[in-house]
Amino acid sequence: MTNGRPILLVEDQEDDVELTLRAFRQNRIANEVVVARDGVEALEWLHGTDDAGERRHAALVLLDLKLPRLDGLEVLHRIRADEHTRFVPVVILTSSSEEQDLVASYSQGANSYVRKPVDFEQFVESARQLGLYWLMLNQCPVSD
Amino acid sequence: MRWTIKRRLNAIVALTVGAMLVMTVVDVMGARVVERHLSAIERAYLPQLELEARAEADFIALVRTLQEATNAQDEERLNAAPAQKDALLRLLDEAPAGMDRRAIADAKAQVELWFALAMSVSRRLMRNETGEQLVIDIEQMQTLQRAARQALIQALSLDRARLGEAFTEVAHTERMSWLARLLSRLALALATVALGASLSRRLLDRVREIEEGFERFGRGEFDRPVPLTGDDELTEISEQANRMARNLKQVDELLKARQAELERTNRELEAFSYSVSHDLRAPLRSIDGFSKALIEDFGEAIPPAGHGYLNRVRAATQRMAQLIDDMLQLSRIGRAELQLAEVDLTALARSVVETLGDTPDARRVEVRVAEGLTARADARLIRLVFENLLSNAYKFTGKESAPLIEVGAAGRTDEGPVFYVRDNGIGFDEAYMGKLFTPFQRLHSEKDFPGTGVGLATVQRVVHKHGGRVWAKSAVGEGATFFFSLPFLSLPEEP
Repeated sequence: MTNGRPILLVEDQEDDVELTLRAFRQNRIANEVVVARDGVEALEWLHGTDDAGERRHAALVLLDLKLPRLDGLEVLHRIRADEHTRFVPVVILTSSSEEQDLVASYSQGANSYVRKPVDFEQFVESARQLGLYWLMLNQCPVSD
Repeated sequence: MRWTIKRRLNAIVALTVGAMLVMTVVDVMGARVVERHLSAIERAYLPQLELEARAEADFIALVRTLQEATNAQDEERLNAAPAQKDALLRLLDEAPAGMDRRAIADAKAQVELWFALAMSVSRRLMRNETGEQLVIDIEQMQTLQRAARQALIQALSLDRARLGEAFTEVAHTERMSWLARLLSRLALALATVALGASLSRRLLDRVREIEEGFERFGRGEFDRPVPLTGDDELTEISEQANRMARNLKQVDELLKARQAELERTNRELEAFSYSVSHDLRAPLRSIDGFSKALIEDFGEAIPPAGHGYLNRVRAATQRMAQLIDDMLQLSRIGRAELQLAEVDLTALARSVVETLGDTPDARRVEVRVAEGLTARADARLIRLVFENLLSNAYKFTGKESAPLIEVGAAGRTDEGPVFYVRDNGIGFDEAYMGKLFTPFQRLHSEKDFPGTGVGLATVQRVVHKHGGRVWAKSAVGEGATFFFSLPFLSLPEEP
């Protein structure tokens, strides 16, 4: 089951992490949410193994573009370059609405691009739709 | 001595004039030589001709005197004949130098011989003598008379061969001088043409060099100056052209440096806008999100006034987010590259009009868009102009009973065709015109007409980017008309 897997949230802003988790809670999204504070941490988690020694699989990666150490586009590039993670759905979740960021993200193989709304109610609605679509409706090929 | 073009031209003119003067003098001198020759001929031969004629006439007169005196038996008259004869002989003595003296002396002797016999015969006839001797003497006298006359004519007659030679000589001189005149004029003409042609070729070559230099400068090749040949006015022009090229090169380098600087500034500005978009929005999200969390989680513990304050906090964050977005949009227009194409403004304005009623509080507004409005513009940017002007018009006719918005063309100015968006809304005081297009400046209260005040600033930025101008006409309560010119554009063609 894809939708039972954890969601990887790559976000360095503590406030945004908390607000995102809150939005998931309000939408009753039960998946485990793993938080990575920067790009390197995100890749380490994706390429690592779980307690049982199995390779980890994420149901969805929510990726900010502006990150310490390794930025979001580079993380995306490495996810797509890796045989094990190339099909994982990656949604860019960022403050920027610059055309250049949109183009770069889709060029690197982003599945979706969402601008974080300032209004929290809209943010909750975005989280709801993301969860509904990527965790319930969408189907991904199983890699490995 | 600098051989300037002016000096060269002056030299050619001077040479021509001088040569013509010399030729005129030579001509006059030649004419005078001929004249002198002719008058010499006249002096030499005219007296001789006169003498010849007079001597012959006097001789005939003498013969007639003798005959008439004899016939009339007039002794007295006959006695006057010797004086007449002496006058004739004296005339011969006056013959000009150069005549045959011996022939004259011979002629005089002949005359004397004849006259002596003629006098004797006359006297005998007057005495009515007769006889054979008289007849013989008369015959002898007639013979002598012919001989004397012949001698006179021979001595005094003109030397026609010499006269002919003199005239031939004059004719020869005249012919030579004519030839000299012709040749000297030909030579002058050739020299003038040759000098002029060489000067003009030289000048044209140099002018071409200068022309090519200017063409190079026009292409921005400032390092290949006009070659400096000669030392005249064109050399000065070439030097000035090269000086100008050096200055232009400096200006060009300066401009390029400025441009690089501007591009750097622009990149910095872009980076700034980018971080504004990211970094200013993040705290706003936190403020809004946690205010909402506060209401949701601890709402019951907060008194109603507290809820009010929290809602104000959230409204303020929304507004600030809007301001940031508007500011970013404004900066994006500045950075955007114009993509010009022929745009159907009528269709564009109508598609914008259709979105006007998309708000929940939509009202009925009559909108008239003129047919056939076209422009050469960036469609994406010009859409922003109509979006802002039309939404303003919609907004500010909100209190009209019969709201009307018109879009049309208002002819052509020096800055190109002019378009307008007119409404019959509340209008504004033209005294505030200066503030109208300044970002975040508003003429109405937020409560009456909401907005951030970047709409008209956006319009102005787009129109300026097209090289046009935007202005407005209005009075409070009498609607407003916003005009904008688009210099790249053409007016709709008349059907």
